[in-house]
Amino acid sequence: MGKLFRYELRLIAFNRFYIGFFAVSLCFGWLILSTGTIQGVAHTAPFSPWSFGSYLTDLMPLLSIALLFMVWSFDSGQARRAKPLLNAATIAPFRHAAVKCAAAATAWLLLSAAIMLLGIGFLIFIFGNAVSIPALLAPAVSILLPVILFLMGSGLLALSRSRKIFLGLPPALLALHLLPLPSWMHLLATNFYSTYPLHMDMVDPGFTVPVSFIAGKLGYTLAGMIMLALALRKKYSCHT
Amino acid sequence: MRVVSLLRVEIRRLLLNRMTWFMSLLIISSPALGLTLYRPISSTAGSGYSTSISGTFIANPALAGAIAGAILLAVLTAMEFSRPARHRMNALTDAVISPFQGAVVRTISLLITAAVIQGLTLLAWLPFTLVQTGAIFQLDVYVSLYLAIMLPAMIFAVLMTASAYLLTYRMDLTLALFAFFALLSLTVWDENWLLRWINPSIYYVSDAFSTSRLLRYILWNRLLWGTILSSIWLLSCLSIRRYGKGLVRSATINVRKGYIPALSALLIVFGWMAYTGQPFLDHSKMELDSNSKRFLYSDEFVTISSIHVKAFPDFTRARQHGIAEYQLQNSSEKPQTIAFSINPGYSLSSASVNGNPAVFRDLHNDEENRKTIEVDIPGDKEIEVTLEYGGFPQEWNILALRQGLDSQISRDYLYLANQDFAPIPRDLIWGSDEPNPYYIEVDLPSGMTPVVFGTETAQSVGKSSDGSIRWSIETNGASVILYGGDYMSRQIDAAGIQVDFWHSAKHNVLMNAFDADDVIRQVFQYCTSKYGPLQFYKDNKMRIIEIGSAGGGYASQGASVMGEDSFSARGFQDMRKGAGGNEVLAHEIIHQWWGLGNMFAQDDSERSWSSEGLTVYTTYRLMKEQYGEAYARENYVDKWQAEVDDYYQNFYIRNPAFLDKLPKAYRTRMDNGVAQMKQYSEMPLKLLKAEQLVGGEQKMDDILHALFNREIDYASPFLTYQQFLDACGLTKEDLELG
Repeated sequence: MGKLFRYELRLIAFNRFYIGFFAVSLCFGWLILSTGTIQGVAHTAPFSPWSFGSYLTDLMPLLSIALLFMVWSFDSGQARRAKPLLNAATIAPFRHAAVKCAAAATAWLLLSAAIMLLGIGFLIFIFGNAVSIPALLAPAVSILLPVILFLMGSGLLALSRSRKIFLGLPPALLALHLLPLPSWMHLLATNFYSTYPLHMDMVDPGFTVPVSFIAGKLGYTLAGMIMLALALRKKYSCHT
Repeated sequence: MRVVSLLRVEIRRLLLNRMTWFMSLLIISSPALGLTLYRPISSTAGSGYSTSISGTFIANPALAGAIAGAILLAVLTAMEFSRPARHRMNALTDAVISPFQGAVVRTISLLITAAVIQGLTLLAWLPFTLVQTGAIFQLDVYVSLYLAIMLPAMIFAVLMTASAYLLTYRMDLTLALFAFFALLSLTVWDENWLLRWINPSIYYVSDAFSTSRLLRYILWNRLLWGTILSSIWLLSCLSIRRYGKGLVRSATINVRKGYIPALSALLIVFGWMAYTGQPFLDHSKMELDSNSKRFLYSDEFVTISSIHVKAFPDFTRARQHGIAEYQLQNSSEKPQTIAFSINPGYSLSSASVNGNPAVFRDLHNDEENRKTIEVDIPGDKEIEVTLEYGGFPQEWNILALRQGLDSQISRDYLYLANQDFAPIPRDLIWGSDEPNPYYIEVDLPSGMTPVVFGTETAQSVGKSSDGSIRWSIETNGASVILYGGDYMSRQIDAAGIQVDFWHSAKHNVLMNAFDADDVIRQVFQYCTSKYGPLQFYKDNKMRIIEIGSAGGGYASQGASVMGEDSFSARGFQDMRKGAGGNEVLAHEIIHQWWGLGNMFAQDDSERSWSSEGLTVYTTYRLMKEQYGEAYARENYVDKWQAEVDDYYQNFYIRNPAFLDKLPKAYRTRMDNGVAQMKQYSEMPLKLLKAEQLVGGEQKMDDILHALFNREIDYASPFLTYQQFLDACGLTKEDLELG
C-alpha cells in the first residue's frame, strides 16, 4: 500500500499542473504577504494568528481550485484509459480509490504547507523573534481541515455524477467566496479573520473563535466526510 | 476566405451547443447579483447601503455581470479549446485545418459569443432598468457603462483563458491560471485602478451631471488590458503544438511566422505606454506636506491688481485651453521671477510680458495636484503677464480610486477648480486692501449654465459662430472654481439670509417633491437660533451649489457646495439612513458659521483645531435634535470613536518600534490619514467632552454663541483653540481623551 501511495503521490507532485500551480500559489502568496498581511488585520500585529489566518483565507480560493483539479485528475483521459488494467489488478478498487484520495490530500497539504512556510518565513525575516510559530497553527488547522474534506467529498461526488456538474464547482466556489454571507456559512472563512477581532472589544485579542464558526466548520467537515464516503462507496474513482 | 468560412462553422457549432446556451443564460441573469448580493460601489451613507440610481441599477449590475461573465466564459473557453483533446479528435482536426487557424477561429468565435451575450444582456435588462431609473435614465449611459465594464471583462477572460490553454494544453492548469489572474484583480490589485481588469474601480456614478470622465478612465483601463492580453494571446499562438512536438520545438517552428512576435512586441510596448503614460492622474508625492503651500516666492516688491482669463474648454476632447492676463506692479525696478501654480496636466504654450515673449520654466514638481511655472519679468513698474495654457486636467493621484469626481470637461458638465481653471499666481501680495477683480470670459455649449463658487452671477455676452455661448463673470481673488451644467436656481429666504440655491435641472422634480427649500431653511434656523445670525456677507446673500460629486463638499465665505448624493430621493425619503448623503448638506451649510476665512484660518498650526471640529459637532447636535439621541450616538459619536480607535489601536501606532518594517507607501497612507481623523473625529469627541465638563448642551451653546459674536481683533481675527478653552474655563489636558 505504501508503495502504491508513493506512486500516486509522485504522479501528482511531478505533474505539470502541480508544479505550475505551486509556482503560481507561491507568487500569489508573496503578493498578499507584501501588500496585505504586512499591514496587519483588525488592529492586530502582522504576525498575529488573525493576520496569518487572513493571509491563508486570501489564498484559499486558489488552493481550493487546485484541490478540485487534483480530484478532476482522477477522471482524466489517462486515468480512464488505465482503468481496465487497474480493474484487472489484485488491489480492491475501494482501497485503490482511498489511496488516490490520500495521495491527493497529501499533495494538497504539501502545497498548503509550502504556502504556510512562505508566510512564516516572510514574517520571521521581517519581525524576527516576535513571531510565535505555534500560535499560527490554530488558524491554519481551522481553515484547511474543513476545506480539504468538503471539497474532496463534493468534488468526488460531483465527478461520480457528471464531469459537467464538476465543472460548475470552481465558479460556484468563487461566487460563494464573493457573496456577503454570515461568517459561519463561509467555507473559505472569507473576511472572518479580518473582522472578528474588531468585535472582541480588546486590543491584541488571543485566538478564539465563536461557537457558530466552529459549528459551521464542523458542519462542512462532516458533510465532506459523508460525501467522501458516499463517493468512495460508489467506487467511482476506479469503476466509472 | 477559409478563416471566414471556418468561423461560420465554428459559430454555428457553438450556438448549437447546449452548454453555450446554459452559460449564456447564467451570464445574462448575473447582473441580478449586483442588485442585492454584490454591490462593489461604495455606499455614500454611513449606515445602510446607498448610492446613485445609476450606480444602483446600472453600474453595480454591470460589475456583477462582469465577474460572472468572465468566470463563466473562461470555463466555456477552456472547455471549447480542450474539446478535441478530450474527445481524442485532435489528430483528426489538426489534419483537416491547421492548428493555428483552429486556435484563431475558436478565439474569434468565443469573442463573438461574448459580444452576442452582451447584446442579449443589454436587451434583457433594459425594461427593468428603465422602470427603476425613471427620469434619470439615459440610454447612452446605460449602454456605455455595460459595454465598458462587462463586455471587456468577458473578452479579457476569453483571451486570457485561450492563451493559458495554448501554452499549457491542459484544461485544469488553464482554469487555475485564470483563477489566479481573477484573484489578482480582486485582491492584490484592489487599489490599483489600472490593473483591475475584472472589477474596474467605480466610486460613484452621477445621475444629474456626467459620467464622461469616469467612462474615459474605465476605457483607458480596458485599452491597457486589451493590448496586453492581445499581445499575450499572440505570443501563446507561437506555442501551438505542431507535428506532435512539444512546446519549445513547436515554438521554434511557429516563430517563423515573424509577424506574430513583431505584432506582439508592438502591442506590449503600446500597453507599457498606456500604463506609464496614463493621462488621468498626476505624479504628486504620496506624502502630504503641510508646508507645501507656504510662501516659496514671497516677493515684497511685486504686487498684483487684477486677473483676466479667457477660457475655451474643448468639450469634445475634454481639454482646457485659455489665455490668462495678470496685471502686476514691480516696485523693485529690477528683474524678478514670479511663479504660478497650474494643473500638472496643463502646459504653457507661450508667455509674454508687456507684449514681449518671456522666459518661463515648467518645474514639473507635481505636488497636491499642482505644479509650478516660473516666469521671468523685467524691472518695469507696470507689468502685464499673459500666459497661454491648456491640456487635459489631471486629478490628484492619491484619489485614484474615486476618479471622475474632482475635475471634468464634458458636454453635460464642467468642473474646473482653482489651478484646473487657470494658473494661480503664487505668493504675490495684492496691490490694495480691497479684493482684486478676477474677470472671466468662457465659451460654453448652449444649454450649459456657468456658476462660480461665490455669490457672483454669470452674464451671457454673445454667441460664437459654432453656436456656443460666451459668458462673462466678474469675481475676485487669486483663483476661481467654475461649474457648468444644466443648472437652475431657486431663491430661499432662510433666517434672514437670501440663499441662492443652484442645482441640476434633472433634480428639480426631486427638490420640489421633497421640499429641499425647507430642509435648507431648517439648518439656517437652527444655527441662527443657537449661535446668532450670519454677519459676514454683503447684502445677507449666500449660495448653495449642487455638484456632480459625492461623499462630501466644501464651503467658504459666501458659498457652500455639496455632492449630488446630498439630494438623493432615498436620502430625502429616509433621513434616518445614516450620517452621510443629505447630512452633508447640513454640514456644508453649518460651515458658514464655523468656516474657513471667517472663523478659521486656512492653515492652522494646531491641525486638529480646524473649521471641521465645530462644524461636525454642530451637525451632530442638529441631528440629535431632529432624530433623537440614539440616532445621533449611533451615527456620530460611535463613528468618531471608531475612527479614533482605528488609528490609535493600529498595531504600528501602538508599537512604533515596528514602524520601520512597514513599507513606505503604507506609512505614508497612515500619516496622511492622521489630520483627517484628528479634525473630523477626535476634535468632535473633545468638544463633546467639553460640553459635559462645562455643564451640558445649553452652557456649550451659550459659550459658542459668545465666541461666534465676539469682538473681532483684526490683528488676529480667527478663533483659536486657546480662545475656545479659555471660554470654557478648561485646559488642553482636560480635553484629552485618554
